[in-house]
Amino acid sequence: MPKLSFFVFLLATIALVVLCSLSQPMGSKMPALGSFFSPFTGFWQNAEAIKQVEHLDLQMPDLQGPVSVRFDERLVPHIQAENLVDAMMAQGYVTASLRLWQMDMSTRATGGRLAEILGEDLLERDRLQRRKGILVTADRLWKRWQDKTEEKACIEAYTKGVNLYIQSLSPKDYPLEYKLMGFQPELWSPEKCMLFLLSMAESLCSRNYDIPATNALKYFGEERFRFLYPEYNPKQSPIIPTSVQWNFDTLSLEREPVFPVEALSEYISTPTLPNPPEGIGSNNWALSGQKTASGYPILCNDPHLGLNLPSIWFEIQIITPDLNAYGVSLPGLPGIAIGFNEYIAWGETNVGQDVLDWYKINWTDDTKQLYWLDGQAVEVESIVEKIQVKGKKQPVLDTVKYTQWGPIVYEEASSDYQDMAMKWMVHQAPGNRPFYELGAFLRLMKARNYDDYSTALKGYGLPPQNFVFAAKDGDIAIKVNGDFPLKRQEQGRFVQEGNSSANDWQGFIPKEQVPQVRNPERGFVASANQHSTDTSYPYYYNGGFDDYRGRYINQRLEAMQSATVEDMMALQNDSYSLKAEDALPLLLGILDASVAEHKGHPAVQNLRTWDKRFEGWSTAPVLFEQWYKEAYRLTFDEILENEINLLHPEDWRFIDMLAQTPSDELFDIKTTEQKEQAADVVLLALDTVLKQLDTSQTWSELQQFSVQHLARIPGLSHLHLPLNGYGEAPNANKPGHGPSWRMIVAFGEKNTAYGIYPGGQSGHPGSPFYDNMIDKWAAGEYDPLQFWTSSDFETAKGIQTLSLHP
Amino acid sequence: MKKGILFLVAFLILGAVAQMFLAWWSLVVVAAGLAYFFQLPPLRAWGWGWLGAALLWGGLAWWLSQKNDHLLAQRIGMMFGGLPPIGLILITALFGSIFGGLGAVCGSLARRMY
Repeated sequence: MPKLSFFVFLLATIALVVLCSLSQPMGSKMPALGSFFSPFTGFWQNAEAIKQVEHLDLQMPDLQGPVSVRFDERLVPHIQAENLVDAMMAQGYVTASLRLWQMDMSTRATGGRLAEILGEDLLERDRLQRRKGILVTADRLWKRWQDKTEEKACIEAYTKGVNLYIQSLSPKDYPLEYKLMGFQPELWSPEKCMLFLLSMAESLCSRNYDIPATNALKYFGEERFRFLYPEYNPKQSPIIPTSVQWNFDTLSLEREPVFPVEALSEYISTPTLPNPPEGIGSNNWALSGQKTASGYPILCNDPHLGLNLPSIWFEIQIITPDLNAYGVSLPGLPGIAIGFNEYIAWGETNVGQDVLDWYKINWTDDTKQLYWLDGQAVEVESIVEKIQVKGKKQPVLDTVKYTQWGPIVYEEASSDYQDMAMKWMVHQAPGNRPFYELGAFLRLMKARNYDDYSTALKGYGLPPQNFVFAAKDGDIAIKVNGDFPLKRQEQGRFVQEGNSSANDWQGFIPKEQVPQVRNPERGFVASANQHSTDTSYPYYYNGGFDDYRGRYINQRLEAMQSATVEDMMALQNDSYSLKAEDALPLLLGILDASVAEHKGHPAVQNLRTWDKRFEGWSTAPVLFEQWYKEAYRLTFDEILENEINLLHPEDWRFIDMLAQTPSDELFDIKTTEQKEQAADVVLLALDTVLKQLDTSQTWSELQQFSVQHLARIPGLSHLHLPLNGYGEAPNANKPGHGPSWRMIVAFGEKNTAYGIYPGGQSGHPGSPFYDNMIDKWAAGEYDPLQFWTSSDFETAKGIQTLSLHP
Repeated sequence: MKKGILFLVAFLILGAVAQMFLAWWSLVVVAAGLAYFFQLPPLRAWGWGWLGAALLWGGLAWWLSQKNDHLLAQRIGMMFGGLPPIGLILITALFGSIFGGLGAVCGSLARRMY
C-alpha cells in the first residue's frame, strides 16, 4: 500500500512539474509557468529596484581607455570616452542593457526570422521578408562596409558592447519578454546592425503603387487616369521654395516617357507589396535669426513613426575629445540620428520619392528558369532561403529567383500571378562614396558649420531624408538627400516591361544636384513629406507626398516673427488641419444649398462653429471625419469595391472634384438606379453618418489613440490616450502612429534644447523609466535636455555612474 | 512539531540555495529529500512542505516587489484580469506550495516503503 501511494504521488508530481515546464503548453500562449512564477528565475526577477545602485564598475577588456557613463535623472546616458570606438562600445553595452529584447525582435522581424521563435503562424511573414531579399542584402551591405575603416570599427565595437552585455546575463536576468515568449537572446552581429538599417529603409522607402496605378490606367483610359490621379497639386507648397533656380548642368537622358507594360491584356492580380502604414511621416524646420526673438536660429524636428513600447528612439549624449553630441539614437545602430552639438543641430523627415519599381518578367518557357532580356535568354539566380520554424526539426526551404532587376517576390505555382521582379534602391550596392550612412551621422555629430554638414551628407544614401540644418553662426539649410534613381518621365509610376534593359533606371541623381537650399530669403526652411520641389526641377520623380501639413507649416512659419521656443512647441502640437479647412466649407455649402432636413441638426451646428482643430476632447472632428470618409467611399465605390486592385485617388483631388466637377460620373453610385451628383453623394453620406453617430463621442475616443507594446502583450501597453491630433495636421497623431520624438534646439549665448518621446529610456516593463514620458508627451509638454560639457560630468546631477575599465 | 520546525528551517535555507543555482523544480527535490531525512509522516510533511514553499516563493516575491514599488506586479496583474500585486504574490506563494507540499509527501512516502 505505501508503495502504491508513493508511486501515485511521485507520478502526479512529475507530471505537474513537466506540465509547468512546457512553453506554450497545449497550444496556449502561456509561458512555462514554473520558471515564470518562480521568484528565483521568473518575472519577479525583472522587478527592478526603484533605488538604483549609485556606482557600478565593469571590466571591458576590449576598451582602449576608461569610459565613464553617467545617467541623468531621465535615465539618459552621457558617455565620456577617450576615443570614438570606445564610445561606440559603451553605446552598444548601454543600449543593450536597456533595450535588448527590442533590438533582437526588430532585427528578427526585418530579416524574416520570427517563425524560429514564435512558430508556424509567422512563417508566411518570414517568407515575404526573405523574398524581398532583405537578409541577403544585409550580408552584402556588411561586406561592402568592410572598406570603410572607421565605420567598420564603430560597428564592431558596438557589437562587442552589446555582446558583452548579453554574455553577462543568466536566464533569470533575461528581459521579461524573453520569459513570456519563451526564447533566449542570441549574440549580436554587425549584420544585425545592417538589418536594422534595412528595417528603417523598409518602413521609410518601400512605398509602391505601380500595380494599382497600372490597373487604373487600363481601367479608366489615359485621359480619365490623368484627370483622377494628377501627380502635382497646384496648391502644393514644396520643400524647396519656388524662387530657387536650378543652376547646374542637367545630365542628358532619355526623355521619352516609358509606357506601361505593352499589350497589357489583363489586369494584374499579383498582390501589391504591403505598403508601410499611412501616417509615417515627419515635420522639421529651422528658422534663421531674422525670424526669432533671440536673433539666433532655432531648429525643430518631430519624426512620425510607429508609437510603441519600447520606443523606437533612445536618447544619448556622446563625448570624446573630437566631438560632443546629444540626440536620439536607434537601438541597433551606433551613433546619433537626430541631434545637436554646441555649434549645429540637424534633423530628418522622410522623402516620399518612389525608389521601388516593378518589372514584368517574360519567361522563355514554363520551367521559369530563363527570361528574355534584350533578345537573350538569361538564367535567374536562385537563392535558397532556410527558414527555421519552432517545433520543427527541418527548416522550411524557399527558393527565391533573382533577375537582373531584383527578386521575384510573389511566385505561387497555384496562382495566376503575373511574375514580376522588384527593383528596389535598397538592393543596389551603395555607389562609390567616401563613407556610408553611419559615417554621415558621425560627421554630423562633430560638424561645426554648413560645410561640414554638406560634406557629411555626401556619404548618406538610404533611406532618403530631408536633412534640416541650423548653426549657431546663423546658417540654416535643408537638403533632400539620398540615393535617387534617374528616371524618364513617369518611369516607375507603372509596372514596366522587364524584357529590355532600356527600361532600367538611367543612373542616379548626382549628389550635388539633389534639391537643396541654404539661407533662403524667407528666413526659414521646412519639410513635412510634401513634394521636394515645384515642377521646374529638371529630373522626374514620383511618389507619395503630403499635401496639407507642409502647406500649413509653411504658412505659419511665413507669418511668424520674433519666434520663441514656446511658438515652436505650439506649432509641433498644432492640431489644425488644412484638409478640414479645404473640405468642410464644401460639405456644408452643399448641405445649405439643399432642402435636406439635417441643416439644423445639433451635431451639424456644432460642426459649423468648429475651429478645425482635431482636439481630443472635441466631438466636431468625429462628424467631419466620418462624413468626409463616407462621401469619399460613396464617390469612389467603383474603385474601392472593385475586385481589380485600383489606385485610390488622393484626398486633395477628391476635394477639388467636389468643388470643380460636381457632375462627374464618378459621383454616381453604381448600386442605385438614379444618377447621383456630388451633392447627392454628400447628402447621402451625411444621412448615413448621422443615423449612427454617437454625438457624445470625442475625437480621441473615436481614434483610440494608444502606445502599444511591440508584441502587443496586454498590461504592457498604454491604451485610450486622450491625445489631440490628425494625420493631416502638424501634430500628426494617428492610431498607433505619431510624433515619436519632439525636439527643439534654440541657439543662443547659451543654447537650450527640449525634447520628449512617448515612452521611456528603459525597455523593461519592470522599470519606472519604461513609460515615464508618456503623460508629459500626451500633454504636449517637453523636458529640457541636459547637454553636458566634459567638466559638467563631475558636478551634474545623475542617478547612476557606470565606470568601464579596459 | 520540533521535527517540523527543523524541516522548515532546513527547507528555507537549502531550498533557497538550490533554486539560486538550479531549475525551479529543485524546490520539489529539496522538499522530498528533507521530508525523507526528517522522517515526517505524510500529512505533516505535506503541511510543512506547503508552508516552507509558500514562505520561500511568497516571501521572495514580496521582497522583490516592494523594492520595485509593485510596479511590475501591477503590469503582470493586468495580464490576469487586473489582479492586484498582493494577489499575484499570493498566487506565487500558492504555486510554490503545491510543489513544496507534493515534494515533501513523496519524500515522506518513500521513507515509509522501508
